[in-house]
Order: sequence, then structure tokens, then C-alpha cells
Amino acid sequence: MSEIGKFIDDVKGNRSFMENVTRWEVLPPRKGEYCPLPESLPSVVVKSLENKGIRSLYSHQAACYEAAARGENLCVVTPTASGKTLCYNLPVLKTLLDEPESRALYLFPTKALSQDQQSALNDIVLSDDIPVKICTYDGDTPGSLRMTARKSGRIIISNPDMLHSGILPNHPKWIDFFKSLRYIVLDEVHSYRGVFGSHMTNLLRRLKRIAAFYGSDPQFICCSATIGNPGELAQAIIEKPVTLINHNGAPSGEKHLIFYNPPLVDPVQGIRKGVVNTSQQLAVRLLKSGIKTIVFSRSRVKTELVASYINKRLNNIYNDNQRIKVESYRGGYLPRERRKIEKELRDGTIQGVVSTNALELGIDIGGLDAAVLAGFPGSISSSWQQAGRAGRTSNVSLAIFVASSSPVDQYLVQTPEYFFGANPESGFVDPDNLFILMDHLKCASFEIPFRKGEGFPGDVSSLLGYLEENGVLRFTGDCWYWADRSYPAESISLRSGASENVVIIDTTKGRYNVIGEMDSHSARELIFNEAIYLHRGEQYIVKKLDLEKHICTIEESDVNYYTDSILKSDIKVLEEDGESERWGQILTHCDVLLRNEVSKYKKIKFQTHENIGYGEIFLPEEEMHTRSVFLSLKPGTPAGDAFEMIPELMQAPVLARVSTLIRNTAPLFLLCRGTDIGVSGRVRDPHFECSGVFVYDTYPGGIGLADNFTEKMKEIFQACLGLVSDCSCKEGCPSCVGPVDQQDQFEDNPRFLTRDFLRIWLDTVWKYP
Amino acid sequence: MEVSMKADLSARLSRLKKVKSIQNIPKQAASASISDEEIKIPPGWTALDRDVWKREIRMPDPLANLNLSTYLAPSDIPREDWLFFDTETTGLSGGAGTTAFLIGLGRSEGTDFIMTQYFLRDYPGEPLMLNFLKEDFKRAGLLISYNGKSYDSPLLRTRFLMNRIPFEFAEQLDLLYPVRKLYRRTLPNCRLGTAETFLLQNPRQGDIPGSEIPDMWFNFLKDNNADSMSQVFEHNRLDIVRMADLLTYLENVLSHPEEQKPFRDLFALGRFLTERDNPLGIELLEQAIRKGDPRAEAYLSVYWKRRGEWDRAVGLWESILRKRSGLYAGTELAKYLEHHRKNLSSALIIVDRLLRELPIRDPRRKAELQHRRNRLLAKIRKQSENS
Repeated sequence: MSEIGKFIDDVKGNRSFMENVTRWEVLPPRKGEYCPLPESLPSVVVKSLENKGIRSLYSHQAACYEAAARGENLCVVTPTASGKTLCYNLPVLKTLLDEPESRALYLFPTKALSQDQQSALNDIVLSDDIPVKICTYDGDTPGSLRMTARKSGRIIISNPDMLHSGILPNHPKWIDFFKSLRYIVLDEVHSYRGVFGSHMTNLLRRLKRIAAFYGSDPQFICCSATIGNPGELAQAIIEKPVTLINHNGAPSGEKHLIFYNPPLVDPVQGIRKGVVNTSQQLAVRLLKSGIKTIVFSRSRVKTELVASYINKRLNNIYNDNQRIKVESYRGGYLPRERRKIEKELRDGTIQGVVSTNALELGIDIGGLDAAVLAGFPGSISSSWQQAGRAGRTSNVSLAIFVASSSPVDQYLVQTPEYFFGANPESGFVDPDNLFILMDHLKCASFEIPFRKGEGFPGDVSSLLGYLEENGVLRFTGDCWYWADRSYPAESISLRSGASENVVIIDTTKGRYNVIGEMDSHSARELIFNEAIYLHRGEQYIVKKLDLEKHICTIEESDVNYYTDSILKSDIKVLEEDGESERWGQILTHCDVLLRNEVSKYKKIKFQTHENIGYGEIFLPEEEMHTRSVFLSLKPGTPAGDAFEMIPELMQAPVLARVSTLIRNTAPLFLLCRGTDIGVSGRVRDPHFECSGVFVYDTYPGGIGLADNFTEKMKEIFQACLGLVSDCSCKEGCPSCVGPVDQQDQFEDNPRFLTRDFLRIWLDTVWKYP
Repeated sequence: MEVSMKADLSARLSRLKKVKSIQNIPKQAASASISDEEIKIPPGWTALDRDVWKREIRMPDPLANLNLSTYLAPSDIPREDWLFFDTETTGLSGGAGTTAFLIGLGRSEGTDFIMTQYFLRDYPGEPLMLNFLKEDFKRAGLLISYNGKSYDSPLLRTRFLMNRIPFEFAEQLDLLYPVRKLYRRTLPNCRLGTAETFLLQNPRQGDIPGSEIPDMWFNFLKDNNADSMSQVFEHNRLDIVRMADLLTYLENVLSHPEEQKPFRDLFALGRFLTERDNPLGIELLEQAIRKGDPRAEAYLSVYWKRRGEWDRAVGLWESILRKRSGLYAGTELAKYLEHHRKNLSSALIIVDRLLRELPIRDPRRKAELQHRRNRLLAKIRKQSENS
């Protein structure tokens, strides 16, 4: 019997373990569906595949190859371990070998992924016999290699940001590439949702426009994780009909999914054993049984903690830690360090890894047998992806979800049928969002002047006219020319809060070694002065965080605690645009300042996790100036009157539930991601002197979502009411009003009170024409 | 776009205006609204068509006093085939949306120098202007510029490509490179204006800063007042003439390197000539050493070492070490003593001195030195064991 089989039998017979298991789901093994290698596949590729032991394809890989050969744009749904790279590499290599001039562009949402892909392509798919030059082109590519990449790279691997600010604005340097561009591969297409996805759509409009200028019309191959609407999303992003291939032909072994709620340590107050300690104990148990294990944790600090606890538990000089090596892995390590860990995982030097969601995406780390999820990762599809990291082979595999004490985790672990019944999240884009479209029109005009009557792809003449009035374009000779000295892509970012990274430098005993980096947003919360910084199991104390110079100096330390900062957020109204009324609802559009302040931190003792003291943090507040709409609950309006009917004690909890409902429904109508907007309910807001709800954009300067809320308000509230009334849960779940919150000072979830409030209010609203 | 979106477009655009930082851009619309008759062509210029103007200026040839050194302009390209060029552009960051709106050219003809300028009066004239330029470029055997290799040439390439005009560039001579090589240490910077002020001793008066030039053209597009452009025309004309002056100056310096000239960097000039196998170079380097230039000593010691002239190299290293503890000289001398002279104890003395006296920050260097010391010690031990 395999190690994992033994482990499963073992815990099944263990009563104290089984007491905490709320669900044990066994997914039966699935047979693979195979097709022979296509006859048209060039012989060098066939040979290279055979050298890797590949003599047939999974049915979906073959389907991709055929659809691509028919000239179709396609989107393939690729769960973990389904052989994604062959889905696009085979059709691309065939074309590149048949047509010696042709080129392909591979786009990955992040730099880390694109670098991983280059090594995957170089190491695995290609051998010396296949004369196709592959080049990574991103911010890290040295100047000396850029020219070679442009001139002779047959496959260019890059990311949206580089395409936006580096490649497209300089397209004449890329003439050889664009004029023979045959394929564009979009990997992780599910990550292009909401505002980022809308940017991506416009970026591809620009790309297609430039390709057309040089006479090419590339075909698209998209890969998506399992989401609600992969084909629809891909179609919306590339704006072409898409063939969806979503029948997975890869085999998979038997899979055990275990929901585990840590035992109560204080049944009176309902306090459970911590997720960190529970997860590390489970991981140690798995590792000691000889099972290769990955632990996913929800934050960088927890990743370091879990890894160091595991190593401490295994620590034993007499048997060389039982020959078990466990590493931590997260964003912020130097690329070299990450590559090393990935490689050691693949070749089996490392038996265990503790990671943030950084390893959830398509980085190749080979086969692992068990996954421990220390807390739910925030979305159902992420949960499946993390669980899918275990069981790449056809063997039995195991995933254990360990719930934290958060309301969502507790709901999921106590109601596992919600998890198994839930539809995966869908993705939307709104490429004609005025703000985003306008930004890309500027870039597009810089790239190639707009001819009169030319679309993008819709009619944009009035928008071009607007830019002309503002002096950035000049209309002459039936063309709009870029007429400004600036380089527009430079001041337009595809992501919110993309800021420079802070470099972390170890200065122990006069050293000056860069050991990592961190975005400045996280730096404020994690590496403030006096913070304890954990890096691959080593402990450091922060000497100085200099946000202006983007430098953080640290020194080795060995205290018995780690630090956790306390975040305070606040909304301040800067300027009102005046009140308006729609269907009796008073709305105020305004400019607001979102403030995040870290002013204090807790010192938390290792192992016991008790709070052993506080410290002050002296950092300027982080501010974001953005757009918001305030939905007033002023007495005398339908909403206000309905709100007054709620017992005072319940007003705050109901408002919190209404905010959750809006957050759950609005993205569908505003065509954004949940994280693109913020919703905050206020009882007696000091600025408006009444209760109400702020809905705001989480992008600096705003991106039109809050402004557009008014237009869609009726539909959104209708959906809120429908959701709270019809949700099949008992008393509130993450999909509707949110689960029971221990923080509330009462027993039940005010789901029905929330429903009644909405119904009374909206009954009045429906009467308006 | 949908109809509903268009309906409230203006309202939403006004919000956009408020929120987004488009406020910084010029307020006036950039539409071409003024009729052709209203545009006064300045004297000296002729219109090739509605949107391209040209002028030619004939002047005495600044290259008349040039003594060819052969180190810059190749001797096999006749002087009449040299073409100086310089562009004024709509932005400084490059990219497909940056256009050259003024192109200046200069060439010798007999005893004259003929300056040609093409001016883009409006965007649609670009293909015509480029076609003229293409013909001028075709006739040239050598293109001479200042920073043209990394700025003007790639930009023009982009313009030709964007307008689908086939083009070719002759061999290029970028004067920025020799200025950098020869004067980096002695001039505050290597901009053309700086070279004019200090080398040519001919500073510009009342010239406009280059950073203002793009906006002057954008303003011209709006008000069509060519008077304001005259400063830009003059700036560009001077760029061309001064490039010719500078080439004359540099060629003369290189033809007679022994002559004392202001801002001469003996070491840089000596190295330049030595790299080109001119024996005068060594002489200048030795002069520099006598004047106490440590760079010259180090450079020449490498030079001799590469040629196997050990006595000369060792002499220089010893001379350096008499003055100060030099890491390079010390290491080289220790290596020489260890490997060529088998004099281990002398080598050890030098290594010890370096370790003692030098504050070496680079841990790798320090480790290397330590390693050398250990190896010497081991060898000495072995030697004494054997004897």
C-alpha cells in the first residue's frame, strides 16, 4: 500500500482526528482519453515528444491542435495537471516550423510566470533539433538582449505591462515581428477580469491594430482555469468568436478532500485551535509518513511561520531532520532563489513547501501528494487550484482544508455542501469604460494616427474629437495625429497601485546583501521599523524602512516573537458634486480620500501566539484619492424611512449585510471584479450627518465604477433583494449577506431583517417610473 | 459604441476632465482651421507643397581648414559626400508617436557649405519631406551627427517605416563618441553646447533650450505664426554649422596631438592614439605619468604586460607602489613575482602589505587576496619541507 493510502487508513481510524472532519469527499479516479499524435505534427517535434516519453495526446490537447489548424481562435480550460503547455505549444511549433518567418507572442499576467514559462519551454518542449528561438522580453531583459529578441525571437514571452509601455509604442522597432505574427497565446486568461481585463481588451485592440498595419492577423489561443464563463470571457477579451474546449482528457487519480475544523480549545467562548498550528502539525504528520506536501497559507508572515515551525518540529541532528527538507516560497524572494526552490521541488531534493498563493498559478513544481490549505484562499476557484496542486500523477492524492476562525471559513467548513455546490465565479470586462477606453485611445493614437471613420473597433470619433479639443490630438488631412510631447503609455498603468518595490537589505555585521523585495503597500504593513521580518526561516529585525528611497535595512535577530501590524481605514469626503435624486433615492457623487494607517503593531509570541506587547509605527498614512457615490438613508426618503424601522441595535449589522449584498451583486452589473470596488456602510456618517453607504472605486483617481452605479442602481438593488430572499442557505452565507459574524453581539445573522428592510424600501422605489 | 453612451457622453466627459489629469495639456484645440492664405511663409523659405517648406543657405565652408587625421572621417570617402544632419522632434522619449518636424542638413560644395532645412508645416506633409530626405541621404557617403546613432537615426528609421518609405543609411560618424572619449574628464558634460563653449570657445547667445522646442512647434500648429519658429530654425542651423566646426577641431587635434590645446586630457588622448597604434600615444601617456596621472600609469602597465614587456610593466607597478598601496599594481606585481620570478617571499610581503593597508570593501576581492596569501604560504612551506 502506498504511503498516502496508509496515511488515509491511519487517520480514518483516529477518532480525535475524525471528530473535527466535517466532510470527507472522495473524487473517483478518472481514466485519460487519448488521441494519437497528429500526423501533420513536424517530425522533430514528434521526436522531441517521444524523448520525453509522450507518444499520444490527451483528447483536449488534440482538440486544440485541430481547432488551431482550422484557423479558429480558441479557449481551452486547463485544470492543474492537464498538460496545458502542449495545448498551445504544439500548434504554435507546427506553424513556426512550417513557416520559417512566422512568429508568436506568449502573454502571461505576471513577470514571474513568464520567466517560468521560458524555462519550461527551453527545458521541456524544445530540444536542440527544433530551431525556434525563444526570448523573454520584460523589464528585466538586459538592453543587449533586447535587440536580438526583436530581430530573431520567434516566440516572444512577455506580460501586459511590457506590451503596453515597451513594445506597442515602439512597434516600428518590431516590424519583423509584427509583420509575421501568427499566434498570440494568452495564458491564465481568467485573471483578466474587471478593470484589469478591460485594460487587457483595449491593449489587444491596440495590438490587433498594429498587426493589421503590418499586414498580419494573428490567431489567439487562450488558456483559462475553471471559471463560470471561460469561453465568454475569452471572447469578450479578444473580441473574436472563440471555440471553447472544456472537456478535460487528462487522467487523474483518486482524490480525497477533507474539511477540517480545528478543535475547540475554549468551548464556552467558541475559541478554536489556531489555523497555523493545526496546519503545521498536519503537514509534519504527512511529511513524516513520507508524503510530499505543499502547505498554502494566506499571508507572507504565516508562510514563514508555518515553514519555521515545521522545520523546528523536524529538527533532529541525529537523523539529519529525518532527511526531510521543507522550504518556504512566496513573492518577495529573489528570482534566483525561487527558481532554485522550484527546481528542488521538481527533482525531489525538497519534500515539502509552504507557500502563499504564488505557487497556485502555473509554475511547474512537479508532482506532490498532499496539499494542506491553511485557511480558505478567498475564492472557490482558488481553492480548487490549490487543492489541485496535489495529485499530478495518477496516484491517490489528498487535500485538507483547515478552517480559520474567520466567518467565511467557519461557514464553509460547517456547510461544505455550499463549497461543492457553488458555481465557480464568472469573469466580466467592460472595455468601453470611458476612462479606460480614453487612456488607450491616447496610446493608440500615439502608435498610429487614427484615420477618419476608423473604429476601435466601435465608432470613437466623438472621443477622438474630445481629445482633439483638449489639444492632445490634431485633426488634419482626415487623420487624428498625436500632438503632445508626452509618451502616453508612461503615465497610464494597467494595474491599481502599481508602485515601486522596496528592496530589503541585510546589514548584519556590516554586510550589505539584498535578500528580497516587497511592494511598498505591503512594506508599510510588514516591514516597518522594529518589525520582525521572516525570510526563509531566518529571523531579522527591521532597522529602517525608507519609503522614499525604497530601501529597508534589516539585521539578524533572535527574539521570541513576531509582529503583526494593525490597520485602520477611513473614508473622508473631499468634495461633493451635489445631490441628485433617482427613484426617491438621494445620491451624492463625491471625491473621497481613502486612508489606510498603520500606527500600532502587536508582538506575538511564537508557538503560543499570545499577545506580549504593542509598539508604535511612525509612517505617513497611505492615501488614495478616488471617486465615490454616497447612498443616503436620510429620514424622509423611502430608504431612510425603511431604515428607521430597524431597531437601533440592529442598524449597524443590517447595514453591514446590505454592504455585503452590494459587494456580491454590483460587479455583475458594473462588469468589474469584486476587488475593483469598495462598499462601506456607515451609521450616522459624520460628513453627511446621516446613515448611508459609500460605494467607491479602488483605483486611484477613480475609474467610473462608482459614477456608473447610479445608472445600474435599480438592477443592483433588485438583485440584492433577490439574493437575500432566494439564497438557499439557512441564515446567511458568503454568497448573500455573509455568514454569522462572531463579532456581532447577538446570536443570529440578521438575514431576514435585512431582507425586510430592502423589501420595504424598494416597494416604494418600484412605484417610480 | 452604444447610443445610450453617446447621449450622456458630454456629461461624463466633463467628469473625466475633472478627475483625470488632462488639465495640464494646452487648452487650445489643435485643429487645423486656418486657411492656407493666412500662413505667411518666412523669407528665405519656399513651399514644396502645402505642408513642407525648404530653405537653402550657402556659406563659406567651415571644413576648409580641416586636416584629416583618418581616425574619425574615413579617408576614402570624398569630402563632398559627407552629410551633416540633425533633427528637431515633437518629443524626447521616442516611440512611434514622436515625429521629426525640422531636419537640417549640411554639406561641402567646392569652397562653400550648403545648408538645407526641411520644415514640416503640418503632419500630412511628412511623406513628402521624407522622400526629399531620402534622396539627400542616398547621395551621401558618410552621415555625420551629434548623438545621432542613438537618437536621430532610430527616430528617422521609425518615420520612414511608419510612412512605408524604403530607405538606406550610409556609414555614420557620431561626434558624441570621440568627444566623450577625449573630454569626459575635462568638460562638465558632453553636450554639443558644452563642447562649443569650451572647445570651440564660441558659446551660443540667446539660443532656446532644447526642451522647449516640441511645444514651440505645437504652438505654431495652433497659431501658424512662423516668426516664433525662426528661433528653432536658427537653433537647428547652428547645430549643423557647429558640428562642422567641431569635426574640424577634433580632426586637427588628432592630426597634431602634440599641440597644447585647452581642456586637453593627456591620458585620454594618449589612450585614443595608442588604441589606434599611433606611437605618439605612448609619448603622451608617458607625459601624463610625469604629470602624476595615476590612470596613465595603470593603463600603460597593462599595455606593456599584454605585450610581454615585463621590465617596463614591473617598473610601473613598482613606481605605483612606491607612492601608494594600489590593489591592481600590488596584485599584478605579486603575481609576477610568484609565477615568473618564483620569488615567493617578496610576493608574500606585497600581499601582506595590501591586506594591511587597503580598506577593501568588496568581500570577493578580499577573499581573493586572502586566497593568494594562503597559497603563497602553502608553497613556501612546501619549499622549506623539500629543502
